[in-house]
Order: sequence, then C-alpha cells, then structure tokens
Amino acid sequence: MRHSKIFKGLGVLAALALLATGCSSSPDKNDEVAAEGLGTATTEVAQAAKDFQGTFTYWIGLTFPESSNDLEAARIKAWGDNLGIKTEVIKVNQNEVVQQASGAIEAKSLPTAMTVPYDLMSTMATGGQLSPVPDAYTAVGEAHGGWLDSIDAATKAKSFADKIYGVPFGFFGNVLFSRADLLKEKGFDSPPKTWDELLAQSKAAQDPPTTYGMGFALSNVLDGNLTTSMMQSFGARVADDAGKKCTINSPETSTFLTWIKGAFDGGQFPPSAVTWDGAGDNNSYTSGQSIFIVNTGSVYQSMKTDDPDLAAASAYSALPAGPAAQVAPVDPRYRVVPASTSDAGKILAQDLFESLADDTYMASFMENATYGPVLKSQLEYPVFTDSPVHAGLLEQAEKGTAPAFPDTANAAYSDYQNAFSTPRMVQRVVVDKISIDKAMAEAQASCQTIYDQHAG
Amino acid sequence: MQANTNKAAAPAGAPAPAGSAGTSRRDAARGSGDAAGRSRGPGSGRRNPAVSREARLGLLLVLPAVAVIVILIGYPTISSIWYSFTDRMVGSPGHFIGLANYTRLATDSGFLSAAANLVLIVGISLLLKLVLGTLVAVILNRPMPGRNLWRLLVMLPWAMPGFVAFMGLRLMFESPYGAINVALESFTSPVPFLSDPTWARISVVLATVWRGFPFWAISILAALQTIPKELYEAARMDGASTWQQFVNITVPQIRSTVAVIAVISAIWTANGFENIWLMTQGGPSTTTMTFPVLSFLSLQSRQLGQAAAYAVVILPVMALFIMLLSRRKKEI
Amino acid sequence: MQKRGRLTTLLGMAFLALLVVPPVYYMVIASLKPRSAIYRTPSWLPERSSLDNYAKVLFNDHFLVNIGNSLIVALMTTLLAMILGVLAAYAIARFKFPGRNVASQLILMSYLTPMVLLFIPLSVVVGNLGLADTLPGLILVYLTFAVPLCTWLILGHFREFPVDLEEAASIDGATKMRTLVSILLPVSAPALATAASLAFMMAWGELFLALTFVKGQAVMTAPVALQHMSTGDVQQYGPIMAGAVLSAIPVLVVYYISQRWVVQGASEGAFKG
Repeated sequence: MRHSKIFKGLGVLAALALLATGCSSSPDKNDEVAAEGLGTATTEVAQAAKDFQGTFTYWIGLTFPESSNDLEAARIKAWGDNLGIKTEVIKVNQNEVVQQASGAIEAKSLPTAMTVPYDLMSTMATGGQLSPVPDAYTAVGEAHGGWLDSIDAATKAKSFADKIYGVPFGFFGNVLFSRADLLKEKGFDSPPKTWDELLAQSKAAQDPPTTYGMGFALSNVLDGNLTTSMMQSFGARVADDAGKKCTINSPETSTFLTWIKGAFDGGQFPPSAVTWDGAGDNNSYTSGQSIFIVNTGSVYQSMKTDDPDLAAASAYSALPAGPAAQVAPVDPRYRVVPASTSDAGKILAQDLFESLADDTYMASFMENATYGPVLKSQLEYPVFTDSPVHAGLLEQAEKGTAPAFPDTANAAYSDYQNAFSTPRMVQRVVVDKISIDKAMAEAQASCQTIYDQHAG
Repeated sequence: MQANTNKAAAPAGAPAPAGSAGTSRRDAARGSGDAAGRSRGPGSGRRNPAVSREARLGLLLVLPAVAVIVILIGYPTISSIWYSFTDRMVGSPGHFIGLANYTRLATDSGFLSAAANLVLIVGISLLLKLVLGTLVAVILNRPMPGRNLWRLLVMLPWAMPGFVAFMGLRLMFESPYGAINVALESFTSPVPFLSDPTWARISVVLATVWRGFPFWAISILAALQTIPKELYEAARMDGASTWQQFVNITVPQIRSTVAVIAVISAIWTANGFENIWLMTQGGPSTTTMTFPVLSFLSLQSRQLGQAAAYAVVILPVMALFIMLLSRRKKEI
Repeated sequence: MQKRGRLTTLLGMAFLALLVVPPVYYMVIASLKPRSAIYRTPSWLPERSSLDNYAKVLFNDHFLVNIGNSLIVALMTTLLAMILGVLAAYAIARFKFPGRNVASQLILMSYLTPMVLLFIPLSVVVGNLGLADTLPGLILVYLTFAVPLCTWLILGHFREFPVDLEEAASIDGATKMRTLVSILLPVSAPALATAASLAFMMAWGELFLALTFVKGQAVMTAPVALQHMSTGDVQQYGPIMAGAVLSAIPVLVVYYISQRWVVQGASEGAFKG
C-alpha cells in the first residue's frame, strides 16, 4: 500500500522528466548562424573524421550571457554533423575550470578539446598536458587579417619555449565602469586616468553608507587579482625577470600597500569588499552602491536588460595608470587540445578551431558575449562600435598589456594568481591591520613556495 | 492535550519491550557484547562448525561495505596522506619532501586562524545546534494543530541543496542590500555582517546553525518518540515538574542519540566547505578560515601536497574527538 | 493547566515560525523577482513578482531532467547504502568474527576525510572504472559518505536493541537472516527511515563532488544545474531560488513519506513484539 504510493510519486516525476526531455528539441534561432560557412572538409580532415573513435567532447567556458554559450554549442554541433562525427559540448563554469581540469588531468579524462583561460593554458602546457597547435594558429591568423600584437606576444611567451599551445578567440579585459551621472554632479567630466585621480574623484563623489567610490574586490576571488595589476602599476613586481625569485618584498609594494590602506581606512571601499564573492563587485555596482568597478563587460550585458537607465548613466573607460606604468592585462581565452587526444582528434580539433573563427559566426558570438577582439578582422565587427563597453575592450586590445606584464608570464605566476596571493596580502594589512612589512614578508614567503615548486 | 502526546508517542516507543523498557535499553548497550559472548559459549566447547559458519557469514555480510570503504575512501585517504609528504602538483608526481608542508603551517596565518575556528566556528555551531535542535524537537513532540506540517516546515532549511541555502543566506546577510539590512534600514546604517571580522564569524555560525539544526531536531525528535510514556506517567504520579521530567527522563533517554548526532554533525561542520566558501571565502582576511577552505585554496594553485597537508593535519584531532565521544556512548 | 498548555503550544509555534520562515520567505520571493528588484530595490515585499524565473528554469533550462537525475542518484545511493549498511551493521552487532572491531572502527573513521581532498584520488578511481561523467559513477562516489553514515546509524540502533527476541526466534529454528528480516528490521523502522532519509538528502543536495563527476548536460544533477545558472561572474538569484524551491519539493515528499512510515513501521513492530 505505502509502497505503491511511493512508486506512484516516482512515476509522476519520471513522466515529468520525460516530458521535459521531449520538449527540449525546440527549434533554435541560432541554427543558421551556427551552420554558417561550413564547407566540404579537406581530405585530411575527412580521413580524420573517419578514423575518429567515440564522441568528440568539447569543454566550453560558461560565461554570461547564456545565449553566447548556446550559440557556441550549436556551432560545434553543426560542425560535427557536417563531418558526420558525434559531438558533445560540456559547459564548464569559468569559476571551476581549474578544479575541473585538475580532476580530469589526474583521472586522465580530459576532453578532446577545451576552452581555457591563459593561466590554465600556461600551467597545463608546462605540465606537458597540452599538444601544440601551430598550424591552426597560423591558419586562423592568416584567414582573419592576422593576430593583434598583444595577443600574439602572449601566445608566444618565452615560457612556452617556442611552442604554440592554443588558438585564442577573444580576451577578458578590464573596463573601468564609472557612474558618470554622479561624477558629473561634482564637476568631473571625464573618467580618471590615474589611480590617484580615481581616488580624488571617489572622495568627492561618494556618500557613505549609500555610495562608496572604489568597488574593487579585495577578497579571495579572481576579481581580487585586480590588485596585482594595481600593484604592478605602482612599479612593484611579483618575481624577477627570470621568473624564478619572488620580489614582492620591495619599496614599491610598500608604496602600493600604503596607498590602498589609506584608501581603505579613508572609507573609499564598500566595507563588504573584503568578503565579496565573484559577483560581489557586479552586485555592488548594479545595486547602486559603488561609483567605480572594473569588469570585462558582463555587468553591462546584464544591465542592458535589467537596468537600462543605469547602463546609460555609466561611462566605460580604460584601467587607470599607476605612478610607474599603466597595467591593463588582456586575459586571452584559448582553445586547446590536450596531449591525451588521439591523432585524429587533434586534426579534427584544429579544424574545429578554424571553423569557430569564421567571421560571420564570430561577429554574432561577440554580440552576445563579453570578449575583446584578438584578430584584426574582429576589429570590424559592429559590436565594437555600437556597444560602449565593447569599445572599451577594443581600446584595450590596442593599448593593453600582455598577461603578467611587467612580470614574466609562466606557470608559477599563474599559480600565484590562482592562489589570490595579492588580495590576501592586502587583506592582511587592511583587515588584520598587521604592519606592511610583515604582510610583505608573508606574501614573499608563500610566493616563493609556489615559484620553488615550479623550479623543481 | 497531554493524553494526546502519549498516544502519539506510544507506538513509536513500543519497540522496547513494555514495562522494563527503560532498563532494557540500557542493558542492550552492553548486550551486544554479551550476545556475542553467549553465542561463542557453546561453540568453543567442541569447535562447532556453527562458529566458523557464523564467522564466515559475518565476514560475508560486512565485506561489501568494507570493500566500498577501502576502495573509495581508504585508497584516496592514503594517497592524500602520501601527497602531504610530497611537493606533488596536479599532473606531476612530485618528490618526497618530508614534513616541509607541515612545518610551513606554523607561520601560516590561515592555518592558525583555521585552528582557532575549529573551536570558535565549529564548536559554537555545534553547541547552538544542540540547544536549538533539542528545543525544536521538544516543541514538535508536543501536540499542536497541524503537527505534520510544522515538521515539514522545520525541515525546509535542510531540504534545499546546501549551496542554495548558503547562497540564500548570503542574500540575507549581504550589506547593504541584504534582507536583514533592508529590514533594519530605518534603525541603523548597514551592518557589515560579512566583512567585519567579528560579525563575519557570527554570521557564518548563524548560517551554519540555521542550515544544520533540522538534522538535530528530527533526529532528537525520533529519539523522543521512542521514550516510553510510562516513564513520564510514573514521574507525574511522583509529582515531578515538567523541568524535572525533562532532566530526569528525557535527557538520559536521548543522550546516546545526541552523542551519535554530535559525532556526525561535528565531522560535517568541521569538513564543511560550502558554508564558508559561499558566505565569506574564509575572509575577511583569514577571519573565518577553515581547513577545507585552505585546502581548496591550495588546490586552486594546484599544490596537491600542500592541500593534502591542510586536510590531513586535522585528522588526528577529529579522530580523538570521535573516539572520546564513541567511548562515552558505550558508557551510557 | 489546559490554558498554560495552550499558551506554551502557541509560543512554540511562534518560535518555529520565526526561526524558519523569514529566510525561506525571502528566498521564495526572490525566486519571483527580476534581478534588479533583488539588488537595486531590495524589499521584503514581493514587488514586481512574476513566474518568469520558474518558466525559464522549467522550459529553457529543462530543469526537470536534472531533478530526474538527482532522483535516480539519490534513490540508488540510498538503496545501495541501506542494503550494505544493514548487512554490515547486523554482522558487527550480532556476529563474532575475526576483524569485527577493525571493521567497525574503519566505518567510523571513514567519515573523517574531507571531500575537498577526496575528489582528486576519487576521480582517478572512477576514471579507471570507466564511469566518469555517468550517473552510476556519481552513485559510486556518493557511497563514500552514504555507506558509513547508514552503517553507523543502523549499527547504533541494533546495538541498543535487546537480543532476547532474536534469541527466542532462533530457538524456534529461524536462521540468522530470517531473524534479521522478520524481527530486527520491522522494529528498527524508525532508525532505518532516519538513516535512509539522511542518505537521500545528502545525495540530493550534494554539489562539490557532482561538479567534478557529472559534467554533461544530460547527466547533471539538480544542484549542478542550479550552479550553472550563475554563469561566469553574474549571479542569477531569481532562477537559482526558483530551482531551489522546485528541488526542495521531492525532499519534503520523501521526508513526509518516511515520517508516516516511521510511525506505521514502529506500530507494526509493536504488535509483533
């Protein structure tokens, strides 16, 4: 009696689940764009498609908004259908990609191809987990007017030892969002060009506890790593030019920490900035609490639909410069092929990368996403003139700095960043109120531990 | 009204043989040892095949569970302990480096904070869950209109997936647009519930307790339902007050259940990751840092050896705690 | 006396309501709101409410598929863990065999290792078994917490239960296994139901391991799918809370059924006793 009740309940739920699966084949308006420009395969690719065993799995980076992920998934499926191979697209949230890749590396279950941030490409390449893709890199570059210089430099960084491990398709950048409406009231007509100008504007325009100037995360999240760029713009360095010895403990770092401590103690940061999660700065800006934030553009995309007034009241500009330099690193996203992929899979993956770079498709993809351009042909996409935040990204593509600059990009630097080392050092000073010298010494020690592991 | 309680409690209380229930439960705790002794009794006399048959059946019955534990937990745990003595990184085997991952902890502010929080956050959460869980269980054990619905209501914090509960709670504590600050708007300026070091600890404890107390409440409720009503009737006839009944009957009767829950809950709370990660990421600075979060942060930079050391270093503490509690449980 | 009792009951009900309702209420109204109403104009009133988030979760994200996956995983985990747990607990509580103490210590200690650390070695095991990214793989992984939990809870109960009844049965010629099924299990219904509902709930809501072990759209469990609704650095509280409300329903149903079962099972046991 009671069992039959349980089973009845299960039956209903199972039926609902089936119903949902049945509905999922709704027509996709992206189908046309997704299938754009898929021609006949070359003999080599056709042969590889015949040889390829199993399912071609691609991990795409899940980013905001959802429509861009759907479009990319549709494109990959269309490509596979065209070649007659089975494809599966797995969406990996960008916040978990390190964890996911770590598990898959250890379990030897990496996908056929995947999208990774620069840091992960760097650590995976150093660990011998990636297969070089020079042909696809050259082919895509040639077909689309060539790579932008900053991107080309990042891809050919010294630590890769003359090998090319990935094909970039866009970059995450840093656009300074500012509340032009509030700043104009105080007589500031243009966004700040330096961090000191930003501090001055912030002091003048903020009205705590309603609004605060500097909505920059100081917590243990990736957004907190903006403090590394700030630190570098003060002339400080994470490590020496050889990328082996940490040099955090320096007068420049001390100047930076003194500056940021002054701003924090002076009440320029929203108090909650020290425990914001990955969305904290975004939420703070969209709730009207912060006057300045730095974001790659997802906030703009969400404001466009949720709060068009706020989007119109905002200005979008390049990251301010420090006393020593302007550090605005581009963070290119790469399509890579794991070393574990079969030979046929490697050929197919490179063909996929070429077909994903198609300009008609990419223009539509960029429209929906928040990436900056990496190829010269992409500079012509309408979105980079129509959308103010994309225009900011375009500007960064031309003027921005290479990843890790002025530091040396290598796996150790990536792991330093992945451990949120700089924001943790800043928190030691502003929250725990320990002396700047002690905080630097601690950060120096933990940094050296990371660098030493890579040396051995 | 009172009669109702008894009716509801009666069937659940019935497993223990009527009459001598109170004492027989206590006997039973020792009884398992006796039972084994007794069944061994006749066998040892003449090397009865029944004994080895019993042993074989016993082994056969535990085998599947033990196999699962050895393969799925034993192997990973031992590999983790081994990792903690190496500088292993994801994708590369690393070298044996002795205790270096451990000696580093002595100067690690995150480690010292996590050790303190093992008492402050985990300990206080447990204590509050005990008090709140017992209180709620006692309330739910009383007759009340729509009692089954109230029981469902109390389950709610536990019924939603953990990470959703903590995301929702973050939305409560957030400053300035969090729900609590919205409610307090006309009384005070926004309270930094998650970013002030003291408030952050309090908020994390409250969130952990809110999410976890239903487990204590339903488990204690189940224990309350097995207390024979005769005990209370006898006590009432002796003129015992409600409080005296609670102290003299209820508390001893649920003590062993509470010991079990305490062990489980202590491990869950000490190993809890989502509660801290989703609320504060261990911050501000290292104020709410715990060992799992430290471990996770090391994993982010793929330092498997260091991550393992953070996880392994609390094993002896937890093992000691569990042994103490399980020993206590046997005494009861 | 009557009056005081009623007052206490009322106070108790008010306390429970105050304790549980406010956060739940806020989460539910958040599930009805657009993003900007959660951040820009936060309020305890259900302003600008609509069912849009639910529609998105159910029809765009096909959340019921994920609920179905979670149901399969949670039910199978519970079933397997209960079978293994009952057998092991029975053996440890009632049989004399070499290694008995080792086994019981092993079960207790196997709780200790934090999942944050286990997932890498575990993914090696699951990968070698060829179960990566499958529901059976995840079920296997969940047995790591469900088996020790169930075994231990059931063992505690078996140990407390007097052996007299079983001995009487064995004098009547019943075998050990028959005694387990016909005597011990029925009277243990409340403990079994508690253990089972705990295992079910833990498997139902688990996120950290699921993120690693089920990545594909078709095999994602409900928490993974909800987590995916926060894409990149933009949190979608509305749809997530809508999904949370939907995914809490099956747990409540299971708890409700198990509650009835507890009472029923216990009373059946009483008659047999």
